[in-house]
Amino acid sequence: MSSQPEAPVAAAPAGEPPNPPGWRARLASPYGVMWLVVAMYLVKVTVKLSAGYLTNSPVFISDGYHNLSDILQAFAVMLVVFMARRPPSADYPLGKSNVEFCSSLVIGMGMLWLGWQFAVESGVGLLHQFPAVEQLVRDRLSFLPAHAPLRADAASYPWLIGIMAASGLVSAIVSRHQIAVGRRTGHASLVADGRETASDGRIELIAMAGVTGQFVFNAPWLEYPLALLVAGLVVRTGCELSAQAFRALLQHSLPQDVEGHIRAITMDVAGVDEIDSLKTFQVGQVAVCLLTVRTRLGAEKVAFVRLGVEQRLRDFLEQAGFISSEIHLNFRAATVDRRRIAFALSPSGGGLVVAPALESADHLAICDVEDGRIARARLYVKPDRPAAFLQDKLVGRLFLFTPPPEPPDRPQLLAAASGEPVIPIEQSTVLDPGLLPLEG
Amino acid sequence: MHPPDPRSPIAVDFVRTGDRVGTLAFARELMQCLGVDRLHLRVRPPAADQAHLAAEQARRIRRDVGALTEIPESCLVTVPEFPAGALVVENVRARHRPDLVCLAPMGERGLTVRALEAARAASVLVPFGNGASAWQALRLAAAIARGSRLELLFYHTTWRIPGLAAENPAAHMCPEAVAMQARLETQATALAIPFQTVIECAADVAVGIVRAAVLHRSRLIVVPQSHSVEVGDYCHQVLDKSPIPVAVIGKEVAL
Repeated sequence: MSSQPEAPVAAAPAGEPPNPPGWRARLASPYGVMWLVVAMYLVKVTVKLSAGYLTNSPVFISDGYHNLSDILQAFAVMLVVFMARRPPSADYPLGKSNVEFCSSLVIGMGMLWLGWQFAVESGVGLLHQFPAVEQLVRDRLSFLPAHAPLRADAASYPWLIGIMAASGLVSAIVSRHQIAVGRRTGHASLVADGRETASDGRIELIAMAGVTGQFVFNAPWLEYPLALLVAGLVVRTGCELSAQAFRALLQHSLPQDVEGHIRAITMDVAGVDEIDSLKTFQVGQVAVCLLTVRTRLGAEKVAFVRLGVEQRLRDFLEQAGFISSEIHLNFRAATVDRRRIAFALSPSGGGLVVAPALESADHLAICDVEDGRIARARLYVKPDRPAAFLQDKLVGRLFLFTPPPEPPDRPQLLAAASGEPVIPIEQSTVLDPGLLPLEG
Repeated sequence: MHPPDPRSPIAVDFVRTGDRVGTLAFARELMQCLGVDRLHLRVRPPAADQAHLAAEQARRIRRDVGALTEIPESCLVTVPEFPAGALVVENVRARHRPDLVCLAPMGERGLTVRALEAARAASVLVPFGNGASAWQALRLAAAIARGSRLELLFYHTTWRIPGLAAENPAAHMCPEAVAMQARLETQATALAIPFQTVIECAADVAVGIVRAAVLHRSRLIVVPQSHSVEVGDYCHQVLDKSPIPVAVIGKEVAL
């Protein structure tokens, strides 16, 4: 398996040590982008917790602590990336890149929980606008949390709005970079963490909308319908990440359309008769394809069939979004249709021709036919009991050059002993025994 | 330049060919592709005291081939020997007849029977060197490409010129090959057949040709027999290695 590609580094002139990568290259590397994420969350935690305790805002305080957990998550992602980048070994021939999907699974499940919590809090906030309905619902659902309104004065509102707006914007920018780097370098955990960062950004922008609603219109309820929408998006992203991680960890086949293309491309290569079996799965961002095909060609030609299948599948899988692929291609000989036939031969002009009748024949040619081609033929002097002889030789058909007119509609049957299978007699196309490789 | 004369016969050796069904299917598709209306079947007629059965044998062969290929019996002609210039579809090389074009189907049943991906067109590969033989190959390849709606792929491999550091293989081509490339491309443009040209420095000419054909989805390689090489002609090496059908133009064929 090919190793994960690194960010490009400027080449140094011969004989000089290579230049260290610049800050752009560092930021485009998996570790660089995660350090950027850590820095972003450190600033956010400091600002949000300070603002939260100063204004006694539970929204800011809880979001600050949530961001603190995001820092721990960022370190976990770095650890996972480190493990995934370890080269394959004898014990792990395909590397350990699947560990990234463990991290994706945890992040996906976390987002499901976050989305659920956010939906419940938003629902409670919405209910709070209708006290009679709220009372009715709380009587039935006692586990609902208490509504926590934002407490702030006119002087602090602009600060809170500014902090949330800036925080949401930074999250959006950093998450896009994180996802782009994750996709380019093939790190699923980076992509998952980026999507989680993007969700955090949306939540921050919704919180900002709520604060703005309260400040400008004195209508804090504006926040809640928007928040329910965002909760739905967060849950959907969580479901996607979890499902993708499950599929990869349990080595689910590649998507059906990808497998369909793999089959079509394979069958498009000259020399491939049929596909015997196809198994596909994913290890990290590497597509693995176990393929067995049937061919009639010899070893020298099969080498080029292999080249064609492997190269074209690699090109396709790369286009399909996999960072690399492992193609394990096996060849089996094509199934050969084997049968045994016989020709009755009679002398003519010093040679042999296909006889018009079994009675006039003095030789029998027993031919092994493989896929319509006589692969082996052996000549016998016609025995006294030709029917029994042909049955002993497991001959399926006997060919004669019966003279015109045409034979009857139903094939004639060779007399055989009672209870034994009969041998149909066919009209030979050619009189020429050169068809049977018996000459010389 | 015109495509080969549509009356140029397409032929199959009825007796010697191995995969008779596949070979006949390939020949039938070639007839449609080139607009040829007759298929010649080489059959040895009975002689001596059986000579009177020759007509009966020919009738039966036409009947059987007609049933296999759905070619009308009136379009099937049995002949004792291939006519000069015939395009013979068979896996066994007719080395003793330099006046034939021998097309080895390699087990394929036609040029367009495999599914085509819409995104990338398949091609007919014409290797060229510094001689004029590729021009001859182009006449057949162009006719087949046009009839089968395939592209043309011109392939050239060259040795690196010692001391020339250029990475681009085209920089290492000799002037005659450059001229031939221009001539082939001009002709393909004039015939409105899409084409591409691959130039590389392959370690082995025959391997390079087959590799290019495999990687560029070629359905046929058209390669002329050398007029001067007695041993190790590239066309024979390509025949031995290629899983893709190969048409070898005999050195005495006038297309």
